[in-house]
Amino acid sequence: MKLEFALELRMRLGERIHIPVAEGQVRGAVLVEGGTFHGKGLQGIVVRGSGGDFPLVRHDDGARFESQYLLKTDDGQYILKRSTGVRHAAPGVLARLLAGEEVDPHAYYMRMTPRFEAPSGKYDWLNRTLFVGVGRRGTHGSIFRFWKVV
Amino acid sequence: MAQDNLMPVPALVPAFVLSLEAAERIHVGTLSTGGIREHVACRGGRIQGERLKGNVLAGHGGETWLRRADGVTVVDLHLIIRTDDGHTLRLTGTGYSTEDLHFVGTRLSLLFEVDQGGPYEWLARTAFLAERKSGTEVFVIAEIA
Repeated sequence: MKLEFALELRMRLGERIHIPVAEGQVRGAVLVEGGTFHGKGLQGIVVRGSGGDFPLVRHDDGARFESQYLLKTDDGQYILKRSTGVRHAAPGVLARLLAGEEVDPHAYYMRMTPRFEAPSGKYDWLNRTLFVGVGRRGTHGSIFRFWKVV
Repeated sequence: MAQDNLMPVPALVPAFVLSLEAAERIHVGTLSTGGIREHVACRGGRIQGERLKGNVLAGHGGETWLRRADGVTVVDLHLIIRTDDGHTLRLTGTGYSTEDLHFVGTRLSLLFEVDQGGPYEWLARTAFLAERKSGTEVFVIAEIA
């Protein structure tokens, strides 16, 4: 298995909603305000209001997170993107992330395996390809880069 | 674009080899909800690497296959592992089985569930990939570093 760079997403994120689901556990909901993506043979926008990132954060540890939203290619096709990932950070780093501070993304582990549902045709390779992603949390948005497994 | 220092570049680091002994393939059928479902229970196996050695428990998991209408087969895996030092782990995976020009076999993303505070907690803080070439019963597992 090897990784080949596939695309980069830059997301603008809205208000951070916290759902305290249990003692010391919070389900976050951060809705997509918009964004763009660029890759080889693949570019367009992130559809505003089509979903978001939903991390489950434990105050004593890292997080599992889910995300789901729509991409719209520059030739007008919609693609559903869903992802499961792992984030782990040392307690001090996690506290800074939760406080919304800008943190060096090399200081924490944030990896995900996105899956796509694309229409049949030129984008249908997305439907049968495994991807590995890395995230960078920013104060007003996130950057994700996805590599395909080849 | 991917070579700058804005964020880490992921790497695949060889971690484990997982060999599975498969039970008979059960054909569930052509589903009313779409796709053809098949299930293969696990009759045992072994996971082996520098940081994890254990047996796959028979009868507690397996693989389920869904051949979708678009010709892509979605594979979900779940297993229970008993490590040689007596800890119990759960392993889940999801991915695709393809007969691509470039690759014939199954590739999955994997996550572990482990006991809190135990020696295998690092497994739950890490994402993994697995690859099994067609015709073999061995998954080669890499850590996504």
